[in-house]
Amino acid sequence: MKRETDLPPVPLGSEGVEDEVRRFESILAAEYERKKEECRLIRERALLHLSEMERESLRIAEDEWTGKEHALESTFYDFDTGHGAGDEETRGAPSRGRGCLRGRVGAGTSRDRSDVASAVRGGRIMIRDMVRLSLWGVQSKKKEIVRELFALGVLHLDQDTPSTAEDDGTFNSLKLLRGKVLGLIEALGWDGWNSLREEDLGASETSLLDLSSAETVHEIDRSLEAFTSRLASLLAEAKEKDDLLDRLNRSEEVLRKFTPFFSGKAPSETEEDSLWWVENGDAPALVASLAAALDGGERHEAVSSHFVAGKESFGLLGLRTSLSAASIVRRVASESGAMPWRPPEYRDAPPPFGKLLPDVQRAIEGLSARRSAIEEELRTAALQWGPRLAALYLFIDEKTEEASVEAQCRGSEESFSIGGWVPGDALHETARRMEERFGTDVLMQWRLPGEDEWKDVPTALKNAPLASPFELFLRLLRPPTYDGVDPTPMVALFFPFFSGCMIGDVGYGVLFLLLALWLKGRKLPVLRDVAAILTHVALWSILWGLAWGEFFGDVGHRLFHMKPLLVERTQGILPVMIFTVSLGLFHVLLGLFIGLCQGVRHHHRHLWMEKAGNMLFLIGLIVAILFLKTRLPKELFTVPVSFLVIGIALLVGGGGIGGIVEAFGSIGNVISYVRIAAIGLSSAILAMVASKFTDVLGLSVLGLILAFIIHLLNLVIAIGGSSLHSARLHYVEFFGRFYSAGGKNYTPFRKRSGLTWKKR
Amino acid sequence: MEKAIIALAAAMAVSIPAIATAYAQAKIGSAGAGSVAEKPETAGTIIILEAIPETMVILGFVVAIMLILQFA
Repeated sequence: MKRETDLPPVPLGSEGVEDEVRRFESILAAEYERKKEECRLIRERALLHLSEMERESLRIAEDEWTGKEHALESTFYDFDTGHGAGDEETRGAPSRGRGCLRGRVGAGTSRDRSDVASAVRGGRIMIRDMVRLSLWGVQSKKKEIVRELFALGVLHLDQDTPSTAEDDGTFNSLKLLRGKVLGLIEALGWDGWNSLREEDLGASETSLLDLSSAETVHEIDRSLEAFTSRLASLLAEAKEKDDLLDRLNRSEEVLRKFTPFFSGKAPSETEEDSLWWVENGDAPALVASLAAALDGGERHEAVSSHFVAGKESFGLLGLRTSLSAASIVRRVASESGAMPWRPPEYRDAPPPFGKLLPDVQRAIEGLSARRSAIEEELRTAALQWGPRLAALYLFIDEKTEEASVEAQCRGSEESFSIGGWVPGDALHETARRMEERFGTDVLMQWRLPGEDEWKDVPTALKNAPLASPFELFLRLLRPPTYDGVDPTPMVALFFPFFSGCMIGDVGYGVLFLLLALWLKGRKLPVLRDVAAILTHVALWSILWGLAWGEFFGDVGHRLFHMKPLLVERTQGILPVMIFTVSLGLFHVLLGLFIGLCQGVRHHHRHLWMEKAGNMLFLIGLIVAILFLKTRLPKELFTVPVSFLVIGIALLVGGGGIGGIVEAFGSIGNVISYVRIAAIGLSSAILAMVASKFTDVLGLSVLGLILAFIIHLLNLVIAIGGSSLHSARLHYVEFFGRFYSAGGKNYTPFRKRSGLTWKKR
Repeated sequence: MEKAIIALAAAMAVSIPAIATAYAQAKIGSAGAGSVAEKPETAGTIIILEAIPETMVILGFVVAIMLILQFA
């Protein structure tokens, strides 16, 4: 089998490419000459004066230059190889011989890149071929180049490149500003991220795109200043009003409870009303103490009191006494541990409590009106500012990401370099765009990944539109390794087939189809994927419904004399079970076959031996059972026995005792497919039970309602159960035979657009 | 009488593994919920783990059907 590294190198014939390389070399050479001249001058001065200090300067300058010289060398050579500095294979100008370099474009050259796509075609199965891209650019254009890469959105950066972003003041300011804008959005209570339009984002970009990062921070900060302070004052006022309103509401409640007591008899000018917090059991004692205190002073005054117990251990005691006894009341109450109660607005001198209620109610009305006005103002501000702030947040977020990527670039004062992985099919467009935009200011090189690098290459799935919604199932797992197999097309085929077989009802299938059509119009991409999957499941449900002869259970049979094309599930349990086990056998064997191919492809002897042994073992076992159960010629019984023996030998050779255990596990996996029959049977019986209600209760309203409820329940169980079990059959029984989930997700550095923008 | 014993045997063949499956799924489910709350990317693994004990009840179902078809 042809390996990646055996592919012929992409021809590098253009003179323009060599010109570009020579230009970069001349930049390095000029740097070298300048530093050399610097050293020479310092040396001459030092020699003239011969002071200790200048000797030391000379030594430092020489050391510094030696370090820079190495750094410049490694910047140019080391980056592309990925194998450490000084890799002789790639050192020097454009490689024509063997080595890692496969292609090189100095943008602005006339190099024909039409061979790029064919060169990177590596025969991967449903996984996009990736190329290692290295890019050099002049330092003065770094920002624009990074921005262009960001707009292209295809470069997956190396995750292990150390970033110095945390030490960068602008980066930190951007992060701070991003947090501030997000804080404002949350304070506004705006959450319309899904309704955000491209135009909203465009407005922010147009006004700020030409500014540097530092200027952007300053400009945004300045423009948000007035809004921030207005919003803060509105929110503070809203909070203050809420607190006061809460307290007044509680006062109103208290006053309502004491209105009959205080208003029953209006206090004369010589009387005083008061309210006291007392413990629930202490009120009678306090009233008695007060009466005693007043009698002791020979005042012979009556004490009017009313107690309302609170929800917890405290209650309120209302007292009406003469004005002259006020000091005695305060003293006695204080001695009894009571606390005076005052409404919040009238702490110092409350009017008589009987007249206070209308005042408190008026205050509540006034506050509520102001609170509503603030709420309205905030709502208007949210509608007006929410989308703008969200667009601004996304703009700053992108700027922050750009700043972080810029900090990851390596290089010298004159040039910088950046690298990562790009899908082979996007390389041509990337090179073309960079060439058009930056002309001679960038140099790009690419190569195919070496076998030792496959573990680091990100995995990007590539499926036909019909199968791509089923990639959803792989999102629950780590992606397959770059050299692995993407099982999405097989999931697209078998998942709806199994689910449809379990549901197996024309009526339910039609309802699911309608549900899928409704979901298809939704905005969220994941819902559209679900709609596509549901459409497949619904179509298979209808087909299987015809095969089993079911339309809302036996309603089809009762109304239209519907007959099953294959067999009625509730009557032919055994044939259905045998069919599902056969289906399982085929599915498991398919998984083993893919595993076998993987083993052969990657020369993993143990892997392919184990998979082949497992296949032979299963086939041998099934054929042996067939021989025993049917009238096949007994002379040929040696065939399945041979299969079994060879299978066991391969299993032991491939995986030792573990291989034998694995083979018995496979038998369990095959039997596990009986669940398709079991769940289908339960679904069919439940649908029939629903129809029975109309038999028992007749065509009454109650009978129809009960039948409808049972069908609804069955519908939910059908879609939930069939999806879960079908997914499980794939995850456990099928993927377990070949899937290697050790890949890295392909996450290119790019703009967020469409509905993918969300708060991070 | 014989039919009743067969029916009881079939019922036990399903119910005992069903109880065992329910117990195992309850344990896995509670641990899985915690795991998904901490690390949402483990959802796929948890679904797989949650579904594994169901094999017991499926095998119980097969045994019950065989009992009924063979002896009833």
